[in-house]
Amino acid sequence: MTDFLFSRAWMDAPEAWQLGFQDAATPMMQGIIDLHQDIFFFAIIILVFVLWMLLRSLWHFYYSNNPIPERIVHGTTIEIVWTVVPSIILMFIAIPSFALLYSMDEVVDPAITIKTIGHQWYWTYEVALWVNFSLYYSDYNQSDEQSLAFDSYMIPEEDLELGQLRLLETDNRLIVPANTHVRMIITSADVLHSWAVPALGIKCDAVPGRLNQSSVFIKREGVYYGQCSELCGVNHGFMPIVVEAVSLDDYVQWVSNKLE
Amino acid sequence: MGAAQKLMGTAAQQAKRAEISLIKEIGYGLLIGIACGAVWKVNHWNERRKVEEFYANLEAGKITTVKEES
Repeated sequence: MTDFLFSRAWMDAPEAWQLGFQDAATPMMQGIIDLHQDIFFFAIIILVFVLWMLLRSLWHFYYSNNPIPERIVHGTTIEIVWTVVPSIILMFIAIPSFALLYSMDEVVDPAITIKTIGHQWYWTYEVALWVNFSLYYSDYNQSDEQSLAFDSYMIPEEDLELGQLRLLETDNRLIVPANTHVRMIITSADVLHSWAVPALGIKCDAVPGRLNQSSVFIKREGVYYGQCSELCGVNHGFMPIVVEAVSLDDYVQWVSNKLE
Repeated sequence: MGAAQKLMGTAAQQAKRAEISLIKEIGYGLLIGIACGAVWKVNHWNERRKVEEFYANLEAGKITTVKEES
């Protein structure tokens, strides 16, 4: 993130020399980042403390100061302390960790379901749409299911336009509405793949013969990049994922255009 | 030097060990560690506040992530 040098610039794709996470676009990813910061707090304390003890030991007991080393083999009190204290630290780490883990499994009522199928070496997206008449117009819900499907191949380097990202752009992006609960069902048609988009905090294995489910709620419109995350052959590094979150109106327009 | 003398060290070493307090060293280490951790935590809270401000402004319509088409 560059907010300490420039005005805030949201990162939804990898940056050169990047150190931290991409900026979160979903509550799940924000939770993951917060958990990381919480754990890193304890990691810093432990690192600094251990370094201090190490350096002070070297300082006090350097060979020229202390040619004859101690031969201490027991220290019951300190052994108890350095067993109990890490356990307490682990408990403090476990609390937010389990909170996040269980929050990921919360059931939400998705507005749309998207099936993602991994192939060697591209992704297929199938969008299942439910058109519900509101209760205002009828006493019961009617639903009419339609689906649209398309493939998403990486744009080769020689076909890139100025400003496009190498090894990340695709010919057809997955368009989803922002601020909407989306259910992702991920599977594969051949070998193992993994559908991963760091900015959305999602990484889900695509297993042949199995349907894995994940849910996504994108909080801001934007374009989010990801890559296949399970070795799947020679072009494993060349089957990226691009998710574009748009307003609901734009999404409806996109769907209408696709269905025509 | 006898075995016992070897274990105890020279008088100078014994005097030096008497000056060094393990509890104090642990205390100083923890203090510095917690201070560094606190710096990190403040950074974390600042980051979270900026994110919340961003989304609040987005909800209020003051900012947008959509580039206007020219």
